[in-house]
Amino acid sequence: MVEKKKRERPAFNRSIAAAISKHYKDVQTNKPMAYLLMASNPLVEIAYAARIQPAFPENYACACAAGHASAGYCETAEAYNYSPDICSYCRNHLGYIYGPGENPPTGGIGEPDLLLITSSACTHYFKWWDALHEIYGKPLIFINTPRVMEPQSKPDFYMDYAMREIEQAIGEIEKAVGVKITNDKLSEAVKLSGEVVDYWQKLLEMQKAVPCPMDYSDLSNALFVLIVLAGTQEGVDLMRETYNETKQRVNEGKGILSKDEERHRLLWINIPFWYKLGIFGYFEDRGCVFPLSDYTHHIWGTTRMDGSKPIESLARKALEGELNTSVDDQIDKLLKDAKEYHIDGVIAHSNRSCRVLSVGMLDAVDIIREELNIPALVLDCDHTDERVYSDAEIMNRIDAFLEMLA
Amino acid sequence: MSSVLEQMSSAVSNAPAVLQKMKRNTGCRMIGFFHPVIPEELIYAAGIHPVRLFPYFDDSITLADSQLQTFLCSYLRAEWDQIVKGKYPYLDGAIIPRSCEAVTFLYQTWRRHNPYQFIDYINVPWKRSENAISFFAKELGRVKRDLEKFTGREISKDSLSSAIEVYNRNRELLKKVHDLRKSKPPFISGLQAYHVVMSSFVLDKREHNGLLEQLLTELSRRPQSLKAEVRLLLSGGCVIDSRLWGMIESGRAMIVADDVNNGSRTFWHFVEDRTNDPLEALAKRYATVPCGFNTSIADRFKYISEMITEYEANGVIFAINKNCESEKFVYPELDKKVKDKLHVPTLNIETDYLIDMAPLRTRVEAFVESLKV
Amino acid sequence: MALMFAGIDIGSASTKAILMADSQIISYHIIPSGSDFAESSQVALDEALNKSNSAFKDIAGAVTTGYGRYITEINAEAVTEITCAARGASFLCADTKAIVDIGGQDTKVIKIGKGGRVLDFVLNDKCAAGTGRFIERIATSLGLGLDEFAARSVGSMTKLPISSTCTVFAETEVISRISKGESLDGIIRGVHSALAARIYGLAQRLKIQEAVVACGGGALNAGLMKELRDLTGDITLPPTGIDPRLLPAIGAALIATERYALNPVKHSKLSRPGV
Ligand code: SF4
Ligand code: SF4
Repeated sequence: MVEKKKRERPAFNRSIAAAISKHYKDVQTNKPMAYLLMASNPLVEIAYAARIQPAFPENYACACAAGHASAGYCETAEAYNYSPDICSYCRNHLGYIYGPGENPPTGGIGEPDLLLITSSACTHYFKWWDALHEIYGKPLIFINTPRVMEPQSKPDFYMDYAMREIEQAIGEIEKAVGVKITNDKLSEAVKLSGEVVDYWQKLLEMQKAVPCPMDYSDLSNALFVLIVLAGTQEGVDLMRETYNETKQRVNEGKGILSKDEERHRLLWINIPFWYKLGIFGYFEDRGCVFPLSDYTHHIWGTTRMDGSKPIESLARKALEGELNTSVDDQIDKLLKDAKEYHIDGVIAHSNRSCRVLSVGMLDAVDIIREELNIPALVLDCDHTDERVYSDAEIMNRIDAFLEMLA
Repeated sequence: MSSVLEQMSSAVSNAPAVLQKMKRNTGCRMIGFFHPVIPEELIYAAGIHPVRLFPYFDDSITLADSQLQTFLCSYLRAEWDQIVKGKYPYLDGAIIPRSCEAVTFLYQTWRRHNPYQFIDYINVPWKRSENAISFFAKELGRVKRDLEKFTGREISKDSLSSAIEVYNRNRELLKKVHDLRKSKPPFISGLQAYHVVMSSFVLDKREHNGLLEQLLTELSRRPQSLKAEVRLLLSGGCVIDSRLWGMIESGRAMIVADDVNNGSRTFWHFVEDRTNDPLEALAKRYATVPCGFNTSIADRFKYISEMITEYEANGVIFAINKNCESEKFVYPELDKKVKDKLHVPTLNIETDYLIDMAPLRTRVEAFVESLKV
Repeated sequence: MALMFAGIDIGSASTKAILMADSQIISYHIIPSGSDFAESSQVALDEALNKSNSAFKDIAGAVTTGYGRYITEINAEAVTEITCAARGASFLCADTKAIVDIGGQDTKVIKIGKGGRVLDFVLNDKCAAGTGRFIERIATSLGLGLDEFAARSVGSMTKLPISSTCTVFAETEVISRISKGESLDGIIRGVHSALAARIYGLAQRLKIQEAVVACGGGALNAGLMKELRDLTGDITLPPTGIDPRLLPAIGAALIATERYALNPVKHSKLSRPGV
């Protein structure tokens, strides 16, 4: 049997872990606090500009899954009539609300004073926040933006609508919390968010190096900074630290695996199994790294932000996120990047919860197989609801895939 | 049963043949669409026959599985399966809304495999604000241009206005038929009403208007003798399985009102006519359709509670299709409100494409027994 | 005398042990897996050894495969049944380009390259009812044995399609239709045809054009094979005399042989508790 190795993880992980635990303290104590969503959206920067503490139920679901609390929360939500057809991020959160238990992971995510939402990902968002609105009776501010199916020929009035929605939301937020969001503050937040994105893009670029400097879990840790801290100086500092360390690793030729050990570079499609991140270690023990994923590379952090044009930048952020575009667009990006990142195999998680990221995947996998002539494995599973995961079945498929690559 | 009702129900059960014949006789173009949020008037005014898409054949899903995962709404998977199998040769294209997630997915698959000539996507707003409506009007303008390009013919303001007139007339008549269910006992059963509405998705609207007028006269002359000890409201997404409507009404209960995509939501609101800006009027009306995806729980509750009161329903059945995410997400809190605020009992059943009715029947019967006065 | 190698396939339904030497099958044994995989793998292997009058110590190397490949107490290398089945198939039919393995737990379509190398594979989607279990459950709920179930399907002139994709729903659908008086045999054929259609859909994903070899327990079902042949003419069974369930075990024994050739020491150290 292959030996399980202990690998030294980049040091930035510790700083990020500290930031995460600080964040979960902040959401309990700072007021006013608002629930926000994670998909590329303009409300994070606006919240920071208004000195509102954002909290992210989706991120909380990841934390709960990592702490193996999600299955229980999903069960509770189901007992409150939330069907298993609903994304497990949402069920995790609703289950937590209806029955947090004695020791919720990270100490809980707190009760919101405000609910801020956009439509830039799946239909769940609006439905989820609307249910929260019923449960908490707190103001719900909703930015509706169109889905962009043809990014190349996007009509101008799409941008106009997004911008007007953002302006209107800013007014509503000011009214709800009694704070003036000045242009300066907004510009500052957008500028800082832009700096985070710039570092992030450079960070991703370095994943092209052989050997690959970071593994999937390092990168998804850094996602916390990209999303939750977008618009703060803290975020810029952390992302810079992450970038600097990674750059040094690349310069020294240091990778997660050594150059000799790294035998395969795989593409991971969709969200990982948050309750089983160890799976990446399993792959690494067998000479495989994941330099590329749509989840880390494409669905957020792709919009360049310009502090001098805050509203426009925010509108672009809402429209350009991959969850707001078409599968064709996603496939094009995957094809292009798979070549640049020297990908030679694909693991696609057909995630019954996140349908936005899963539908079209069967086509995508077919196209990648054909155009790049590399093998692909589809795994049916769920990102948060551990009850859907069957170790024997998943590992069997993975083993067969690895034997095929060998 | 009245001859008009028979005509309507046969138009529904033989829809593909009816449409194929219409195509042969008139040669008109046909565009399919999903959900009551597509402004059909626009298609109609372009001289194209709009057809609401449903899986009209009872056929197990085989080919669609390699493109659409089984966790998607089975009605849509069945529809796509039948399209791939070439069962709807009369279609020339489709317009697909940003409504429930599954429909958007289907659009993506559709455009990649594009089985017909025309395909378009409409960003229906999920809001009813002024911003949203003016955006929607522009979006409709874009679709209008796409349609004009497709037919090579301009859609004039006049033709739009007259399409609106025809459609408003259709809504008015459908509403009148729906109102026949207010009386005790109702003058028309839920299943019959289902056929009345569903046939409007197949037939030409003018022809349908004629049939509706005939039906109203017939029913006023010779009222049916129906029985309804228990009056139910049916709520859900696309409740397109006629067997379900029939099953619910096979005992002592009758569906006296509905809140489903292929029912009242289709005709409840009118388009403002004789305006200067028909696109704006259409936008305003179609943004208001109370579907699962675009309507808040509060607004849905308002819609349902008015319906429950007006039609004196003593129970609500939520019949939600497996994997119909938006409806399933609305259900828990909406159900709570109906029970707590209106004190009306509810039943939740999960439907699925071609599902066996026997297990559902047991639940429905037990529910009806519990309601019997 | 040529060295002897063992292939042990511990599947969810049955366990198969095979002994091979010089690329020839010496003996094999198949038993139901039951709930104790460790036990059944030992029994199957012992029986195979008995049949060939040999002893455990005569085995130069072994590979275990199947769902229970790690659970067995026989200390051999574990390889998945996908790799093994491909290897086994290309050994039996040299120019096989693809196989469908219809097992109890899952259905696999495997594309095979030179020397039995796996080029690509797909497995059934979790809830697509695309496995042999689908037929088994419905047969059981009707109180019919599998053989009779298949025979009725083959003999039926009519085919009444089953619509539910979910096994549980399909079960109730079948029962309620029978109680309505629809033809039992027609429905049974419908059940087989539903599974065949799903397997066919799976094979479509890999765009397989060439002839396909069927294996696994499902290949023993004449009803299913008939429906599959209706969909795709190009489907064959392994050569006569070879139980279609044996492919992964054969592949496992062959892989054991190859590995021994590469590194005779490590792989010959086969052990098991108490021996
Ligand atoms: S379905 Fe996907 S996009 Fe929607 S909430 Fe769940 S994870 Fe997020
Ligand atoms: S039943 Fe629900 S998921 Fe299916 S098409 Fe209708 S609204 Fe969408």
